Amino acid sequence: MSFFDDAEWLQSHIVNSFITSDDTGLCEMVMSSECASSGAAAGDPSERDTYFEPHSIDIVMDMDIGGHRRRSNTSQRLDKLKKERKNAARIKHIIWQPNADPLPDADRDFVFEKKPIVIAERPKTSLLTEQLNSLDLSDNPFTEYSKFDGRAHAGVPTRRINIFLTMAPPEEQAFPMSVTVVASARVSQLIGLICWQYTSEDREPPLRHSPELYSLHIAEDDGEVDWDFPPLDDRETVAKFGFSVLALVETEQTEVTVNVDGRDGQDQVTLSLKKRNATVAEILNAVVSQRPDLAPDNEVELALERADNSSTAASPLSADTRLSQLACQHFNLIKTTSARKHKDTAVVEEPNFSGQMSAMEATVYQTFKVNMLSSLVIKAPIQLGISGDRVEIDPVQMRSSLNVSKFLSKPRAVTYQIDCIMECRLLDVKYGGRAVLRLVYMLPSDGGYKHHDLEADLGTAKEIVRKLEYILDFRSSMNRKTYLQQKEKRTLLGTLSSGK
Amino acid sequence: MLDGRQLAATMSVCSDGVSSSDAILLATAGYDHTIKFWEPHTGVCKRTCQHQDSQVNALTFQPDRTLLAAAGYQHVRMYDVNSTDMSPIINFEGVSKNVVGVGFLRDGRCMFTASEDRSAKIWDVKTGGLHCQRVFQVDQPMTCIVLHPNQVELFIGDQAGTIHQWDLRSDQHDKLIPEPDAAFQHIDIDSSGRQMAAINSRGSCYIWSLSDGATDQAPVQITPKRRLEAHTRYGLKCRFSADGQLLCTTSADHTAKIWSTKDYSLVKTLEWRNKDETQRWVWDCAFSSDSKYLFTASSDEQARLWNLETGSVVRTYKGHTKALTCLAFSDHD
Repeated sequence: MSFFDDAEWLQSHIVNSFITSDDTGLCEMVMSSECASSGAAAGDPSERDTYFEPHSIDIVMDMDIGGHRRRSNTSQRLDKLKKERKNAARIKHIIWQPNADPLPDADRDFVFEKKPIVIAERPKTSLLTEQLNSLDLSDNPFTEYSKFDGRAHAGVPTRRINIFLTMAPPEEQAFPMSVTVVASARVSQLIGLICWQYTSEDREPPLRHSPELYSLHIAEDDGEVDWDFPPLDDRETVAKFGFSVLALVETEQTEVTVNVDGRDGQDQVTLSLKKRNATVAEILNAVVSQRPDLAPDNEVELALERADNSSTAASPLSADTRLSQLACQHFNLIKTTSARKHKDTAVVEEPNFSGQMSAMEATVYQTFKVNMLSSLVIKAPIQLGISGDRVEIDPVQMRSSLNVSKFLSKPRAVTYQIDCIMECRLLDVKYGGRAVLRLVYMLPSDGGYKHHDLEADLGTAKEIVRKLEYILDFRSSMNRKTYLQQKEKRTLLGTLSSGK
Repeated sequence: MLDGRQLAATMSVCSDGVSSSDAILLATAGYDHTIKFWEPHTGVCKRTCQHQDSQVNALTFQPDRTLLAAAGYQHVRMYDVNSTDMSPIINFEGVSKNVVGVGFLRDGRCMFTASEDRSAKIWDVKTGGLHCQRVFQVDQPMTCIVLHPNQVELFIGDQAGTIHQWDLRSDQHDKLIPEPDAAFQHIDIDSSGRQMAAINSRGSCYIWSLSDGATDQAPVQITPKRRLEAHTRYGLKCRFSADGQLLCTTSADHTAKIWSTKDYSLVKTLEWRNKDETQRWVWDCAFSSDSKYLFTASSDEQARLWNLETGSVVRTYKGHTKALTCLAFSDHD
């Protein structure tokens, strides 16, 4: 194949092969961004033979990153129908038929015989009482998590994951425990479920008494833990990950050192934390409890800053930042006056600050309960679903017994492709913590713009706006650029005319 | 003999589905088109079955405890207790309306049903054939059905407040109308066959004493004994405990009440209340075989286990997504 001499083409071909053969989608996530950047860095593109497009058009970076690539709806539905048919075939149907040949009277006596009444000897204590008495619920402190067991649910999406138990004796470590979890559970709840199943299967050694002391790591099929990746974020839902193998790892004690300026010069406080998600505030409390002399007074507040990172200017960490997000174990204790703190927190934003959305979070499908305001004053409750590639509006069935609702036009269920959504902004904040937001969309037929006004409480409204803004910025479609330009022009004209 | 702790341990090991080695069976169902099997002492749901297209009106275990029968709209479905399958294994059809009551003869050969289509039917479970097939028609939609322990007489309530007594041998039937226009919601006969209780939509509970007829062929004699103003609202179920010492009545007034059958005095009112919610309609109940505990199923989507000595809730069975209307329990062979 001598004419494949373009190194870049070959590289891109290999990358594409990786992506197409990897079902988990991880390669796609990692590699498509990498090769895009390397492609841009390579020399003059006009020199290359344009016939060999370096990227296959078949591969489109799609929005449901991180999970399994979904199968098409049709094939899923066909599968479901097939399964239902198969199940139905197994059910024996007995249909009532009129009996043409009823039992003769003599036989009836024989078939339905009067039986003596047996009064069974009943034990003084029933099995149930025995079990209730013998079972101490504290035997399995994780019982509350049993409700996430997917085996006990029907018709709910579940995930079956093989869990390697790193705390098990070496000869058992090669055999994972299979756990079926409800897909909507969070990772922290999955950990609880694993602990519950582990305990209820009487595995040894016994676990420590809180799921907080454990974390889930990505693992290879043979049970080898992939230490290069951080543990799964325990606030994420299980559905987001496509792993079929994970490892339960006891969180090691994390040693955290904090440099403090004591009265007698530089000093160091060493803390050993067991919780994997200790927050900065908790670390601060622990420091103060070890060194009461450092306790903050009215003027001064305590804060932590990273001590290991000299390249970026150190800045106080916000109190709810979690240790697991920082990947840092050395901190400086700093004293800030309230004024400085305010200034600083306003300017500095932690890259991992939990309030901020990541690209992952923003594109995950999420629903909101909001009211749609129509031209009439009537509010109609709807469910607004936002994902990385579309916005869905579904009317919610009203429970009101009034027939009035029948006459009013109910909102129809509509789906907008994300490229048709132009803008989402907060229109009005009303008394009582309600807010109105406007969702501007384009009619694909004629390119005209229309909008929906939605009402929700302020928190939800802000979240919707933030989420959509993030997705829109991420997509940056041509239509939206045109819309924004037009809008800018209009406002400009508006200010000009009002200036006159 | 295993002690309780070992037993609990062995039971929780086989956590895949429900197994017949589970000596205790508890199933609940209602409006969410699912049937859930629970491990009663831990409160853990072991298995969920689908009951498609219909709510469940009544649940009962077959006497040999291998099948669970669920009565729904136009059919009775049987689920294998010992499998992990979500679907039923037998579907009985041929009823034009809701099946409101279902039960088995003691030998497990025949199943009886009562339906809103005004007919009570006897089905052959073992063969599905017509051999012991029987039908009994009344002129009102039925509400409940119960078998006398002598295995040949069925008592059927209808919406007009009549109790029909149907003898399977002679096909003779009789009527009892203690209070016209108040439909009996449930009838129960204690295991010794000496007393019968029935609760109606006005919350009144009637008690009769039963005695054998003059001859072997004669129907059971019914003598009125007592009328309890058990509840002020709709009555839903009345059930005797296994030893016949206690009677439980449940009602739309959000309570279950326990009565002593000696003098029909109120022993306990079972109410559950949180700071901002209460238990809702209590649709069904079941005593443990030693009469120390009671299960209830309620519209608030939860089933509860009550300690009858203290009147407190010992376990809560959460997981259903709509109102619970029936439960089945068995803790002895």
